[in-house]
Amino acid sequence: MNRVFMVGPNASGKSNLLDVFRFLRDIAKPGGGLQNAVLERGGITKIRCLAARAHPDVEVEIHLSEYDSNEITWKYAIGIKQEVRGRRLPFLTYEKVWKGEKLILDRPDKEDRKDNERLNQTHLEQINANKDFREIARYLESTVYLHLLPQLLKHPQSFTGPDLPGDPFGKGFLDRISKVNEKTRNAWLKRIEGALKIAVPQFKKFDYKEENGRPHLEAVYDHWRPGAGKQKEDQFSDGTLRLIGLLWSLQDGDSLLLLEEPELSLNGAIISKIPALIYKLQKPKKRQVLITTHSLDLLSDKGISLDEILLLTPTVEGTTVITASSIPEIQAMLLGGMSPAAAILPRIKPKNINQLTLFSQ
Amino acid sequence: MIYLNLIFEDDLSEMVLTRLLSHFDTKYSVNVAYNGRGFGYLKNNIKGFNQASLIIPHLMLTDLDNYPCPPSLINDWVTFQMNPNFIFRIAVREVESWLLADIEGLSNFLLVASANFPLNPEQEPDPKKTLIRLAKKSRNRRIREDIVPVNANATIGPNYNDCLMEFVFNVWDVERAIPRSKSLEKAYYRLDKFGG
Repeated sequence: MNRVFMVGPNASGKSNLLDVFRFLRDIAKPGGGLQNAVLERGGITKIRCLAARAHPDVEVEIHLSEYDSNEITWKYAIGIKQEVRGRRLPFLTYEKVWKGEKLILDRPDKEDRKDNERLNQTHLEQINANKDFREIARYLESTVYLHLLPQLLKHPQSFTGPDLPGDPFGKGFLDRISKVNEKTRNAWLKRIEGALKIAVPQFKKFDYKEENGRPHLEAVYDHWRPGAGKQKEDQFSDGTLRLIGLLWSLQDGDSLLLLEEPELSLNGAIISKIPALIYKLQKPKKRQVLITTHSLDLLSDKGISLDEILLLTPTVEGTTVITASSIPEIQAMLLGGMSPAAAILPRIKPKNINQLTLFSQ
Repeated sequence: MIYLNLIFEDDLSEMVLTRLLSHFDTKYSVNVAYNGRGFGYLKNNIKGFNQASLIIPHLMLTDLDNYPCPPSLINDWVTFQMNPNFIFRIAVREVESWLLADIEGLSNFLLVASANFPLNPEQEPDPKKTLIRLAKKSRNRRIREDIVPVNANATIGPNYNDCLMEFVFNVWDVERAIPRSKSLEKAYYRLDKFGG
């Protein structure tokens, strides 16, 4: 599926599911690697499944195909465990790559058995070793994740400390904009300006500026005093910033895009346009977009197929993930004229939510 | 055991349905509960739920509100062939009247003398208002503050639903309520006969 909407109650694992792809990106990216990717997440104990008992191995397998095709061109799979003694480093229990149906990498191999420490690194992260499947590495390393926090962007000085790798929360969002070459940047900003004119009342114009070497966004609003309507990004509303971030990330890059609750801070009427917007902007780039959401407005779009919706349900043995189309009653509901949102969202809630309010007194 | 999906207007109705179903011991088990948050969702999607009853039974409860009588609501809402597995019940006029029908229980819970209660709650034009009027007389301050609206610009009190859900969960007795509510009685017997 080119668009995937993930729904589920709080703490059901939506963000963790997105993090699987960020994890693979962190392994594949230059300067990344297995050790770093695990360390940044606080070690294997933080990654492994809470419900796992005897075999707390972490296993990831992805299948890659061309856009709009179901034929699998690549498969990549790893298993990770932590050393029981010594430095307690994470190590690979296996690493496998298939090109089509053919297994082209199968570790641990002879060399690994001779030298155990080789298993502390994946072949994916090494240019020397990933020659035959570099396409996978290239694809994974350019994965984009954006969950723009307007407060971080408005007050970067209040949030000091080392920047998070990959800038997931948009602290350096303006730097990201400044790094794109001018012509492209202007074209993208122009498109965003068009959308903002419709979405934000009184919004007139939108400019990119550099002052003292620092990039800034400046918007002009209709105002009875013509000079007073100018505002910098630290005065933008949260919703305006979120919308700019969303529209920018949809245009930036052509690899996998991970969007965390794109509906935040936005007006319902705008949210309902997001699915179509994603479709329009992803199509020329042939990229896959994964979206987590809680929004009724977003899923009210009847253009969303039930195959595009993943339902996450927490159970005692961990979270199960199914497509909405695999539930026959939901299919029947849509046949009866219901929207995906109406058929699915009321199901997504903690089982005993009412008891919660009852007994908290 | 019959698994069914519930569709209702608010949390209070869900609690009432849950209590009603639990009256049949293990006959029913709720698969998924759809909270419509108002009747609009129910009315708009009733056809979809009827369709889905082909797969699994559905029980929908709505308030009669301003319709003159249940058949007029059904005429307006149901423009399709109703599936036998689709149980559609209407509370006359609101689910609150089912609560008011358990006079003994509610008078104990609200701490209001039973003499103040209407003997025929289905005749009350606005059961919510009736219930709030009763709660105003309560000797318990918490009850008054929870249920009675803070001012004329609110229709219910700030903790109205939770407070009444507590009543339904702990006190409300279906058998005591049935003799005073025809619509509750009908719902009860439909569930009693269903699947048998």
